[in-house]
Amino acid sequence: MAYGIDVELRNLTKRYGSFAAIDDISLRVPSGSFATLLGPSGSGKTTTLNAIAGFVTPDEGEIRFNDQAVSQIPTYKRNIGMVFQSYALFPHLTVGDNVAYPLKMRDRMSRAAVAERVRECLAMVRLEGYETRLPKQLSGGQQQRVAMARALASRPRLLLMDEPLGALDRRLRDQVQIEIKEIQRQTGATFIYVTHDQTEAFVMSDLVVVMNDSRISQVGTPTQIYDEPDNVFVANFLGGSNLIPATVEGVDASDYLVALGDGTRLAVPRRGQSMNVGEAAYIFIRPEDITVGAPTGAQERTVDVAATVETVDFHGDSLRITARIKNTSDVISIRTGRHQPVGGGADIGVSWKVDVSRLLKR
Amino acid sequence: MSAVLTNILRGVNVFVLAMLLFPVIVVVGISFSSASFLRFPPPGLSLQWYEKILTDPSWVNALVLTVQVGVISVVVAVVVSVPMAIALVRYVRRGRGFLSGLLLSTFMTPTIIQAISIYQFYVPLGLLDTVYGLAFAHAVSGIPFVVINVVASLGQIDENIERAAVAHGARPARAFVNVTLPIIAPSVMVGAIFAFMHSAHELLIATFVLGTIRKPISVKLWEGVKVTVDPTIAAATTSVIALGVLLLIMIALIRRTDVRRRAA
Ligand SMILES: Nc1ncnc2c1ncn2[C@@H]1O[C@H](COP(=O)(O)OP(=O)(O)OP(=O)(O)O)[C@@H](O)[C@H]1O
Ligand SMILES: [Mg+2]
Repeated sequence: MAYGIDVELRNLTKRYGSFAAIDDISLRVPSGSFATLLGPSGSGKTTTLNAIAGFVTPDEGEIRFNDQAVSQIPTYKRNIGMVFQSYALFPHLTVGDNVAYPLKMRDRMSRAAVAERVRECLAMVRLEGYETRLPKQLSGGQQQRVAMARALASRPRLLLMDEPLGALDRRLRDQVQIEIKEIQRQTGATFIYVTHDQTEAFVMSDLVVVMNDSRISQVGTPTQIYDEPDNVFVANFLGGSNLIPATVEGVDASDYLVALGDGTRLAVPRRGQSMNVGEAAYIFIRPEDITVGAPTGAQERTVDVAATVETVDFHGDSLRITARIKNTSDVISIRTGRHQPVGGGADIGVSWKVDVSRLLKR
Repeated sequence: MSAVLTNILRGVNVFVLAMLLFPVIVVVGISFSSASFLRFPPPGLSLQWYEKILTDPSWVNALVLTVQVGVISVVVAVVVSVPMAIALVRYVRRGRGFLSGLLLSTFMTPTIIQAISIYQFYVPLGLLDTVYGLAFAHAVSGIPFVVINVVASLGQIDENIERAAVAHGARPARAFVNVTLPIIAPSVMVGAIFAFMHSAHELLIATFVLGTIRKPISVKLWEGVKVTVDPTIAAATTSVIALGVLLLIMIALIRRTDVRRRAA
């Protein structure tokens, strides 16, 4: 049997007064996988973690660990490790004693074994030799790493981490991300991880759970979430995206036929949400999937649109071009190689492959 | 802020401080007087009045009694106040303001009213004229000092700190003892010191409940003022003031280490 716990949320709702902090959330995180809750501030990520930990009692629905309902199991018996958004280190205990706390509560280990484990865990977060310091003597990032070491110390089968790398600078963050991912592979524990940072979510996760307004907007692998957003919120929240207004005019076996504002007709594959003829929609395309150049004309399953360049911005490794589609007010943004020879006001042709676009409900 | 305004404020500060400290300076000065009457500034210096206090069993007994009553009342106040503060902060949803107000109302009630009602309340209980009786009475008025301090400190603790202990395997009671208690301990100490000083200074309840049998320092001082007019009372008063200053220094030290520990 795998080491990690299989976590399932069934129609979980938690209300504060009439406001639902989480609203009918259902989710399954298979044993040993790394799931990330990603969403804007106030979308219910911490509330979800707290419900899994047992600090928040759901008003409706249930939580199951390995197919057993856990409502009767108090938090201290759930065998979890947890990193809090506010670090929540014990201010009166040294770093060593903070990390040793779960071992003292849960495991009957000799003093030497505890010390050894503490050393190991601190090494994992690159804080060797900090045992005797007090939390207040550490920087925010160091405190966060101590919190991480404490959560990992008793080798729990489920780890709940609430933005554990928020206070770290980019480089250290990258290092610790790799470290966490490695720990997860080695231990086979289940990780449920909260972050604001989409790159972090993509790099680390098997499963990305996008939350918005107390609900789950979409669940999927990083590539699914990025390439095949289910709705406008997910499309916008993750990276730059183009959402070009269009109207559905027809459906065939593989594609929707849609019309842009100027009447230009083009095809979008039939995937995801099903739409009716006459319905208002958005065509979703990532900026990096659009190419600038002469019409490809004859090429199979490609869309060509005429546009006028409005701005060109240098982004170091790429150029961002915004262009207005001819005879409409719709602006698209394009990411190209940095040597694209275009300037403001130029008339260009833009094209994309039908299969990289998607139709989303407006 | 303009320099003029700053100087005016500074002047006001000095004036108020002088007003507050003047009586203390006079009393302390007289306590070291070589003369046997109350006169300020003293004609010469000596320690004779302190010697007199320390060799007079009635003063020594008064001091011992004050400490006894103070310690018992503080212990009772702390034992009641800490759970009360926790309940107020964590479990009382509706009516928290009302309960806090009720608690503070002991500060508003004239002490003579408290003294009379406690007197009547104690007669049938047989607590009148007992050390415990006075200690309990002082505990009641000492409770707000402790509760206020502990409530303030509990309000500042990140609730996730205790949760972190529970998440990592501690039963809630254990988490409280391991984590929350050490964090609020300095505030409990500070509240306890205030409550102790309150008990040591308190005169009216002490007079009613115990004063006819045994006299704590406050009662003895009051009677001293009534009958004798030599610097003994100045020396006794100075001793009580010194105790207070000592405790205040302790508070300052506790606060300092506490603030340092919190600063992170
Ligand atoms: N104890 C509470 N009482 C009332 N409302 C609450 C409580 N806890 C959370 N909420 C509300 O529930 C919503 C979700 O909160 P939650 O902390 O889960 O958000 P979050 O996704 O973690 O946000 P962030 O990224 O800012 O941490 C918020 O609107 C918050 O105000
Ligand atoms: Mg949060």
